[in-house]
Amino acid sequence: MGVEHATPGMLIVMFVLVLPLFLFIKQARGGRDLFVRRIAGIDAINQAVGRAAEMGRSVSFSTGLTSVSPVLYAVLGVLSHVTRKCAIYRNKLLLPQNAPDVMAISESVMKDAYRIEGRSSDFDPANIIYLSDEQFAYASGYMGMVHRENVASAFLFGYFAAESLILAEAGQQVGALQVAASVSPEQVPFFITACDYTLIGEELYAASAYLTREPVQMGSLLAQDRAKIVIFILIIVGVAISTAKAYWPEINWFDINAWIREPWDFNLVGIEG
Amino acid sequence: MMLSITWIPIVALIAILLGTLLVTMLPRFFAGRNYKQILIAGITFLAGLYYFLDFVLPPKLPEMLGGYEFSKYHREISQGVITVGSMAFALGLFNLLYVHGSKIIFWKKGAINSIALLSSLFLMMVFTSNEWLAFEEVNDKAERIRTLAEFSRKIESDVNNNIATEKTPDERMVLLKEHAVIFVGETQLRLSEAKEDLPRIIRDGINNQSKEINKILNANFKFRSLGLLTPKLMKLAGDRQQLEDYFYKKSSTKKLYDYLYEGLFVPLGSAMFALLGFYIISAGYRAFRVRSVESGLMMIAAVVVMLGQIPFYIYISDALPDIRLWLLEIPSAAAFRAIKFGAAIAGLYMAIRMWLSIESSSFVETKKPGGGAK
Repeated sequence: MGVEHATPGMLIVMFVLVLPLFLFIKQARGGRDLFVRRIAGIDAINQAVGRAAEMGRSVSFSTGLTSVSPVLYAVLGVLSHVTRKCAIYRNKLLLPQNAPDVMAISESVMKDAYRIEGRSSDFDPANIIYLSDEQFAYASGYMGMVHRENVASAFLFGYFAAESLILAEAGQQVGALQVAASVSPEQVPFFITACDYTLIGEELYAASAYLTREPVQMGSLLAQDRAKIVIFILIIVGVAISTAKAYWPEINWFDINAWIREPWDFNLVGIEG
Repeated sequence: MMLSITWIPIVALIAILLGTLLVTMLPRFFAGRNYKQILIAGITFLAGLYYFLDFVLPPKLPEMLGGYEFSKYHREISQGVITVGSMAFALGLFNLLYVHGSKIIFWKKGAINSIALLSSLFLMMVFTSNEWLAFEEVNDKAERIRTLAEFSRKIESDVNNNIATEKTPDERMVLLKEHAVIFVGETQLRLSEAKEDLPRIIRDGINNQSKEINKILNANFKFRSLGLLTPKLMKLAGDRQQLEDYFYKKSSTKKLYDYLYEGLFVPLGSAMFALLGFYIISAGYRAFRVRSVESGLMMIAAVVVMLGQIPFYIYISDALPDIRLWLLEIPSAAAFRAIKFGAAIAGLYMAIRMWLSIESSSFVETKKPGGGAK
């Protein structure tokens, strides 16, 4: 059930989850060495760009149906990295687009990446192609582009829906090395079967931190793990309480669910039992 | 035991959190940024702050804090955000014209495709605009009769409530009668243009309403007649709308639009979707090549789920549907939820970083790692 306004319980949980973010970012900025496990899919990003350079073919980077959202900003970190690599190796990087506002932001990121590598003159806005905002028209345009350009490597990062397999199969057909990352678990099986490497769920958010080792992102990544531990503990406590309730119904157990959903009460002062 | 936590510690908590954030982050925030970056970050923060407070604060503040409803203008603000976002659509159009226009002008490879794309775009824009205008006209014709019905109701209520108006009630009645006669005449004329295939219910409806309206107007037309006239006019408006819909559906504008959209665009989309069926087979073939223990387990699970789904499971084992359900509802659902939990937390952190503009350095950095500024 969705909520329109936070309840006091939700605010406390939110506070507990958000606090580690600032603590770990501070630690990371202070120079603390943070460990991130090896993620094969992210290592493959450089490999994929290198492969395209060796073969003298293009690279494509699709953000799928991603709108302006946190997912997009996670993807932009990777796009920036891929663009910089492509700028260094002088690869042609194609960016098929589904949403005009996303296109404008992506174009700016690509332009910056070329500038950082001192290759501004190599940046060609014609490689950022607005295909369509309609799902299957976009898929059709993507397929055509991948076949015409015979891409050597394809990146599928962001939010995807039913068109995911069509996009991934297009890359398969031209023998492209494909790296996919999606936050929608429904599309993950399609990517696993059709792509060489797949980043699942939060790995997409970790990709940028892994590639750039930027303190803000590294600290955030570590905080994410701590927040997951909090959620894990809450789940265990919830399961334990539910189980105990089933065995000893006569005891008035603390109800986490009711506590979280309890709305604002302006008539009471302090915490009441 | 149920805990009821009041707003005082919560508001204090939020104030402390925001205060600490502002005090510790502002100096860092301004350091090394130009005015443009500060402006963008400031607007981002303020826009995010509105949505944050809208979610965090209760629907109505307590009376001692003024009883203000923070979400009072939420609809208007949301519509404003949508309007600003929709302006970006021009960028898509510009990009199409730029990419494909340059291909055509310099006659590059694929220029023929670009001609097809741009001409389709132009045709669709023309026909969609025409279709939209025609649809507006349909509504407009019925709306005029509805407005007249509202006028009739207003005269009645003004007279009943002794409300003074610029024109006298008699003058208003004359105006009402004049326009009612015109609209009924217009509708009858329009009806005579309809062919035999016009649904009988529409034809009879218009004839009956027109007859009854004329009867009311031609009899001793007094204020008490308004109570009868208003519902008749409303019914006539509904029938007129259906009549105009009939003409609209037969118009060449609608037919051309339908041909391009329903007859071409939608089937092309469906054809792309249909490709999925074939691709699932080839993807399935690759997935079912057992190369490791994990892929072996996945294949066994997939086979069990598939067998449990089909009616022939009874020839194999009665337990298959239960095993299938267990696989989908326990291990599979748990994995789905784990992925969603992880992604949601990561998304929350990313959103906070964007809101406070502590993220942007990752993809707009101006210095090359290990090197000087370029």
